Amino acid sequence: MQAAHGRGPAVATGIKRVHPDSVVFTYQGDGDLASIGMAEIVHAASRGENFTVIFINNAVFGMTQGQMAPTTLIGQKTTTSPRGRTAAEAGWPIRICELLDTLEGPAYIAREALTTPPRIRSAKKSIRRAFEAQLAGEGFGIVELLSTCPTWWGMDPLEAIRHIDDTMVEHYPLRVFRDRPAAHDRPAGQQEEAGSDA
Amino acid sequence: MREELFMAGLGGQGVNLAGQLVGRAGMDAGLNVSWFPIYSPEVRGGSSTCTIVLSDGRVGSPTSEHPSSMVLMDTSSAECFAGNLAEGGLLIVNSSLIRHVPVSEGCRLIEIPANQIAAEIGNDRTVNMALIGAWAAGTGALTVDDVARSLREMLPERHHVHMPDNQLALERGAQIAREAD
Amino acid sequence: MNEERRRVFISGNEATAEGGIAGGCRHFFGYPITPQNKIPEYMAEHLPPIGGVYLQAESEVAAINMVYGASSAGARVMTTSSSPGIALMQEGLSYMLGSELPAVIVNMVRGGPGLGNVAVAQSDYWLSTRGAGHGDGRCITLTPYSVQELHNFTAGAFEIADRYQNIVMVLGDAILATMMEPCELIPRREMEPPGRPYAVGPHEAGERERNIVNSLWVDFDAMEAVNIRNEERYARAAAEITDWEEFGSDDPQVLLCAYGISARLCEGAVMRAEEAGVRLRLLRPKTVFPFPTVPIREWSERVDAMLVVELSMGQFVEDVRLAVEGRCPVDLLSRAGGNMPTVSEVLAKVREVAAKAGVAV
Repeated sequence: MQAAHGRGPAVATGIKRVHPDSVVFTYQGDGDLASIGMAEIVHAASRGENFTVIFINNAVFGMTQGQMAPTTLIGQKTTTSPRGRTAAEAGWPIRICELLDTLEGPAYIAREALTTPPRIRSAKKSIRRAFEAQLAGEGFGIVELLSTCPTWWGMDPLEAIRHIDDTMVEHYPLRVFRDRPAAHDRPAGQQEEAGSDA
Repeated sequence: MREELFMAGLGGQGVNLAGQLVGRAGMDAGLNVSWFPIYSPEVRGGSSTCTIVLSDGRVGSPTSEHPSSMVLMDTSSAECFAGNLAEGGLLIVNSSLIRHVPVSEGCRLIEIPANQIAAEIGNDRTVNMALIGAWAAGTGALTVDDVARSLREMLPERHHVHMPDNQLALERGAQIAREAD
Repeated sequence: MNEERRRVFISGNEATAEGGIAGGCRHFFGYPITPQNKIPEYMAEHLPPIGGVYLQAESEVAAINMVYGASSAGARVMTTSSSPGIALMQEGLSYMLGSELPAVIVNMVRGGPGLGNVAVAQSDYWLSTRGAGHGDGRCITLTPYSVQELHNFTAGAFEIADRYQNIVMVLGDAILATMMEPCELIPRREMEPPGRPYAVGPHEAGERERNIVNSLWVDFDAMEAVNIRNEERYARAAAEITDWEEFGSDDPQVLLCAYGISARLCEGAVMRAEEAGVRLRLLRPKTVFPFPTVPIREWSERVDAMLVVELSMGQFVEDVRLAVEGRCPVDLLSRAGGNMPTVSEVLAKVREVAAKAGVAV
């Protein structure tokens, strides 16, 4: 099923509501999820839709050939921020996990980086956990994966990996932000347990 | 005067840049021109083709069914496209890569060992220039000086250090073409 | 003023972007979509250093609404996109027609429907000429056929948009966008201070009535008045700016009708007309809304047949047939999906059309 740019969560919602027992996931880039599809992702997360989102964040529009993404770092040069992104012109890079962490709907939110073997193993665990949450009916899960784009970063692959570990993780800390059943599953009137972080 | 040039090669061989140079040089020589690319879906490595029309009248269609000249840079381009050449047309191939190419009767073939020329110059980015030099001399549509002058205009200043290499490649290609005639 | 115009060898996308700046546009809102990405990239490079605003919206839906806002504030504003993106903008276009606001929109048409492909097509003819989103309203639609015309028409579109307080659509395609040709650049026009009589914005108390820009007309007669005003605009535009070019035999047996890149193929066919053994003429609209109904009607009384060539399955041909009203046969040669007929195929179809109409070939 191919959704229009950014509309993955809306299409997945339709599929999941028709086939609640099917495993459903979306695979979205940063332009897709954090720019044009921001409305769709926020509302799907807020509703606690029981599907899984794999979110690839490489801080650039790759398919349209290197334009600025909402996750592009301050100072990062792209074809549409030729002098480097400035907050004054284009605002700040958006942290999706932190943003979605303000919502009650999501059951699982994590950010991982596809760089070193230990980090890739950790990413695998998070993806597994997000799908387990779906299978258990706990609700919306998202795993953000910091990924490289050597072509449009103008780096070789090793430099690009180092760029994630040295620079990107400063703005996008690696963390499991949430690992619990969706808030609407809790009995009404009950105090939320202290510390929603895992 | 109307010249329809078709160029094809692998991505990365500089097909489009060379084609744009011909277009630009045509404009600088006072002709009407169009440069029309077809990209394969891959950014690199796929085949790359372009058509350049030079005319002292209307350009009309920027595409060409049977180009009056062709520059083919690799074997798959030679296999795919050589048969489209117009009757009496000029075929220029990169003989460093293309061992055999069928040529229709009445057509001219000029073989340019372009990779070898570039290697001798010591600048492997001059492969396309050797072929364009041969095309200019072989068709007479533009002079090698026209092309070199326009190349200097097109290149950003920081690349002007490569001008002697490019000029040398243009001239080597042109020389072989003149000797072939 | 230096009237010497600089001649450069550039792509259609770059010529379009520079045309916008030449036309006085200093506000650009867009969203990346192939095959027109060079336009927003050009604007990102060139607008900020001259005091302009380039903003990459989060979607085409947002981009067109930013255009709406900037236009209501009185700015010369444009956006560019390609077919699926233009489809997303329909809501914003409709609101602008309802609010009677000018804007320039460029559509570098690609294959469809759906995600389609990024190759050449002319399948947004109806989308452009038949309306903009919902409601009674149309886009004035210009159809350039070269890099130079993309530049000139985009620059000129702002005057037309302002004159009629209406959206002007410049209808290009994937080939015109990416091909390169010589282009004489129009000198950049200075930005006009945003302060149009209808616009919202700062003003001294009592200086004027406050302006309200909206498209909500609860009162039936008020709503109908907007529709009538729009129709009056289109009637005026038909009388004042309808434009076309003709090329070929003065005594044609067959008239070719085509716009944009198809007209380039037909021009090639006219240049080789003797191969078909048919006297041939090309009529190519430079505006398709308003449509050159009058010259097409006149030719329909003098030629044996017409042949329409378009890269869609029969959209533009409908307007030709409406103009011809059955006075002569109108045949269609169409290709789609990124395919184009060759000039030889156009000539073969000309022979067929001529033979059917009883022309001795």
